Amino acid sequence: MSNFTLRKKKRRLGVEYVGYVFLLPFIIYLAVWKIFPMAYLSVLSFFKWDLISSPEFVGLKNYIRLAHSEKYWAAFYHTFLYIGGVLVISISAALLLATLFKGLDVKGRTIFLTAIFIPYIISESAGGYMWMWMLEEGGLINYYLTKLGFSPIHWLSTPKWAMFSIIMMSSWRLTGYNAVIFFIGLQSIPEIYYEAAKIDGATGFKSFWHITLPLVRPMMLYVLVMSMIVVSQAFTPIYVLTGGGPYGSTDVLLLRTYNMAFENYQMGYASAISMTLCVILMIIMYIQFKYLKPAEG
Amino acid sequence: MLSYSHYNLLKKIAMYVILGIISFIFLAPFLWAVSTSLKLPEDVFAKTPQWIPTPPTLEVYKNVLNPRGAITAQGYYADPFALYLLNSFIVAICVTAGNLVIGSLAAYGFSRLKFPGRDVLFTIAMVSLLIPIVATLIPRFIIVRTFRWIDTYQGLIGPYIAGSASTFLLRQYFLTIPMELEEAAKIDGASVWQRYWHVILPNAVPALLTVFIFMFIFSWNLFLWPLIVTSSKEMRVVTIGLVYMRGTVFTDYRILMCGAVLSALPAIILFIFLQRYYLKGIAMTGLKF
Repeated sequence: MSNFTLRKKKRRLGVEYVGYVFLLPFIIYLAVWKIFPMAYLSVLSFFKWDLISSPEFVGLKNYIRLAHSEKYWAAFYHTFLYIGGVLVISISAALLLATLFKGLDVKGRTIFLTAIFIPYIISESAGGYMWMWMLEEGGLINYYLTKLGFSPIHWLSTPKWAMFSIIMMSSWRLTGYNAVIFFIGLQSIPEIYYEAAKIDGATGFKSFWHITLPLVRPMMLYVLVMSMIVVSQAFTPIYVLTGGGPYGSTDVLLLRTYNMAFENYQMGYASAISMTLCVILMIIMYIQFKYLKPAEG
Repeated sequence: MLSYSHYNLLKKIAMYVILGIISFIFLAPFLWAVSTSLKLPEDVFAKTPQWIPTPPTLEVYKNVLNPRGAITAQGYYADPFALYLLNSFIVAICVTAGNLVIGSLAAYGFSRLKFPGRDVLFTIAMVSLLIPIVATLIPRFIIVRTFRWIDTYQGLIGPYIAGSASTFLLRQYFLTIPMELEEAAKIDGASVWQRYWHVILPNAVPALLTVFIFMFIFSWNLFLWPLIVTSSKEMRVVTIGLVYMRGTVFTDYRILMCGAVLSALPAIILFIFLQRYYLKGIAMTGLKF
């Protein structure tokens, strides 16, 4: 095409190449901090490197090592235990709270919403230490426990209760967040459904079971998957509350990675552990795309 | 016999009571921390827990906020918490500013300008949202180390200076700004930059505020990355600072709770003021930060 027609074509179609300039900082950011790291990690997982000597290619040795590592599988198990606990508690509690919301007027709603959302606004670090204080041997929770006639529990130093405590703290933070999402979703369910059900004599619980639950299913599945991705990469609550103990009973995959990389300086092995966690997440995401695509009405 | 309106009123009161109790339970850890931080040392481990300290005192706050650091029970100077607050603030402001600038520029390009490959690039950007945190941690550390950015503000801010989430949110909002406004500016001879600055940005204030509140709270609460990238106490942010407020043998919980409350307060206050925008952000994207 001649120069003249090209220019005419550009002006007619309104192509503005300056768009690349607008995108440039963002694209550079993506390349440097997201895309390159992802590629780098997969390559690094096949090496052995302590940051000081030069990296040594070891093939699948890192993966074989973690497959045989008791601590790795313990962390694997704890990660899923943690995910399961947090999701079951936070999502069911959130759904219940969101339904309760509906009976409120706007002013009450804002106050209540703020109250349950604040735990999410508080950092995992600060929230963790607040819980640590409450869970102290002579602390608040044990006080009420003894008042009810039970004996005090060493929450964070007993393997049986340590993971439970961490799950409770994380659920405390996430429930409010999930409740808000559900509430926004519940708003889209037309009131007519509930009115009709009332005419037919349906009580509060019945209308919850037969109207709310089925209509909330697609949103619930979405929240479930997104939560799974976030929660499986939990680090701070565990680091702050137990550091992986007692006796490794709360060690999770990301903590394992951190310890291997930044305490032991085994970058290659840590990368391999990270890669396995990535694969798990990809499987979860794949399940989402496969089973959530058709959003039934 | 109860009339219908009596029944309704009772229902309403019951509802408020239940929700009040639930709200209290949710806020209990925070309220207990506040209460603890306002107590006299003797009252902290009192037999029966006092929710409202009868002699409330701000002495711990004055101690903790001492620029030279808090004086602990053992008589040592603990680390300067005020400096940690400052560091967190610097990081949060820079991350937020970066997201707003880089995000809005990219969002403008994605929404208002036509050029080859635009949609492909946008898809790539959105797919990158799926890249898990764990996938980037170690490589980012190595990159920062190569740049010699370990233990610096650049190192803390770098990986968070922009984000696909902010860009996405802003792009979605920009798309809702009527084309006529820009057309009018175009006719008046405005350049692309002028259209960006004078037309789109002023009309996108709600979205900009949403990104602001989202990214501020997000970066204020960061823990793992600052943990990896900083080593000296001068560079510590407030979330990491709390870790060091714990003693090895004995923990002064008054100081720790004071620190926890101080670290949470800015985020809570900002949230209360900009709540509407934060919730709008969740509604628009449903993303987790």
